[in-house]
Amino acid sequence: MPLAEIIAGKCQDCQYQEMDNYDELLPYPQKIGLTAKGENVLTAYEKLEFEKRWPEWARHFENCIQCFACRKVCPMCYCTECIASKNEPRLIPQSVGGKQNTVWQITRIMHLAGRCIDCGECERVCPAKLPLRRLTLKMRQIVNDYYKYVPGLDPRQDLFWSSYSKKDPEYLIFKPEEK
Amino acid sequence: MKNYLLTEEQIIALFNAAAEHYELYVPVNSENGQVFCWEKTARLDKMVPSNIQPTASIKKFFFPNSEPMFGFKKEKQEIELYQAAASVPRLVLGVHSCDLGSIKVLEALFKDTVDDELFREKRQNTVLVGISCSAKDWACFCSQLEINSRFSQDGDLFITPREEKYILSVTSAKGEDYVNKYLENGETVAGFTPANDLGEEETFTLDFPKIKEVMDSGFELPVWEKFARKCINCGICTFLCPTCHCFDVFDEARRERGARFRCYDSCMFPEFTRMAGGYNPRSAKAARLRQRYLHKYKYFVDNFNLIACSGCGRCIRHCPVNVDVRQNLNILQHSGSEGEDD
Ligand code: SF4
Ligand code: SF4
Ligand code: SF4
Ligand code: SF4
Ligand code: SF4
Repeated sequence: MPLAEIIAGKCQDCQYQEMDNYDELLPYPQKIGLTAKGENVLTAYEKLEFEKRWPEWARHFENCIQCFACRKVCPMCYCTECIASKNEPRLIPQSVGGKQNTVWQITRIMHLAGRCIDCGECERVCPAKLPLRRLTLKMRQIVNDYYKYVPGLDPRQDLFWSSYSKKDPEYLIFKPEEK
Repeated sequence: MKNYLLTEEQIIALFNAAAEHYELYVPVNSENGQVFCWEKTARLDKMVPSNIQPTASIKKFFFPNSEPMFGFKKEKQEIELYQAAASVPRLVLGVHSCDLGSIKVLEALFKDTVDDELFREKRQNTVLVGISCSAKDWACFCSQLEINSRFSQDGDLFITPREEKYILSVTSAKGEDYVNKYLENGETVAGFTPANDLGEEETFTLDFPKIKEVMDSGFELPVWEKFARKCINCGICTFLCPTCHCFDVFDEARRERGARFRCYDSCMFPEFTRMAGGYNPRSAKAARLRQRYLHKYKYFVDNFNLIACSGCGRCIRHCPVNVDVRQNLNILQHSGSEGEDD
């Protein structure tokens, strides 16, 4: 059976097949990068006209059932009490609906900024098939563009959330001024 | 039971005839791809396929993810409560036998144990049209629960494709009312024998009475630990299960108005049994998975003489780590109460 047929979608555009921070390296049976370097679900998605994007997302967010499986499966979610389970005050609306689900998912993505390693698990498990990797990849891209940080790539680098430099730009959340 | 033999045009006309009074739901979307849940459509152009089981189950129509129970608002010093949402008549097309069979489990609670207004209104207002299933996939095990995937009388109407035509079986008084009102010149057929189940290519047969016996004295079995090892407590299995019915109630308010909601909860979540003082009787993963299995195949049988599972396979198909209830029940069935070695 050709590898392309059984490999997880995420692995097909993996950019990090040859890492150097291992103790032992077993030989690869076969190279698994199947899409051209630099191409991934995000670059493909961003070819879509801006106006066409929200209607599709609105529909996806309607479908989310707030099972929180995307959080549960995430290897980088490690809070002992997740913001989504917090009761008093309740920060994420528990009633389910397009708007509320959008709040939940955007919050989750923001929490994973500088942490998400793009394992693609959240997208794989989501029963409502939300294309979550588009969001996580975008967030990774922003973190890398402005802070030169790719989670997990260099264990010697200071962690994104616990380091500060005077040169850091001030706009992680807000739209940057045109340079 | 009355059966009609209808052409495709007739059957489409029958469901479009009520479009003014009913919201019509179909298991396909405009691109005919896999849908998450039945989707609303203004009109039916062609008959729905018989091989689609939506990811979300039929319970969404009677017991949605979250629903407002009532609204409240404060004006001056007065607090006023009001009905938050009214239910509308709906017609749901293309429901498989497993989903139809699961409704009695919800009814045992929301209808027979307590008369739950929110559930009752929606159930009364919904016409369920079943369809003979033509696609058993690797996770389906309805026949092990004595549900016939090809025919069911648990809904209001049931469709069996026959050659180029369709047999429409009337399976409830509500279904009959619907047909009397909206069917024009239907030709009845005598002697219609419903098809039998497709059968399963299972390598084992589940003996539910035996499984219950093992469960009766099996609270401390070591296998629970083994079953739960890979579970990530995501709750997908319970959210998608047509028979799971646990909910949580809370208020959401902004300024002077808000609503009390009830929304799904899951025994697979660690917070499910956590008490205000912090104690959690089911703090271990194995205890939570055991609760799910015992509730479905033991407690519900003790309380209502019904198995709270219809074999729809959603908990198997959508579990991110391949926890397969069939395999686990099979292990239980053969373990006896003395337990199972690894
Ligand atoms: S896994 Fe999917 S459906 Fe569940 S909460 Fe996350 S986005 Fe929503
Ligand atoms: S879907 Fe699977 S992993 Fe998730 S809670 Fe259920 S059994 Fe556990
Ligand atoms: S326990 Fe699993 S197979 Fe049984 S009704 Fe629920 S989701 Fe379907
Ligand atoms: S206790 Fe668990 S298995 Fe039972 S209905 Fe509730 S969520 Fe489902
Ligand atoms: S469980 Fe049975 S009725 Fe349901 S989709 Fe599978 S085969 Fe069809």
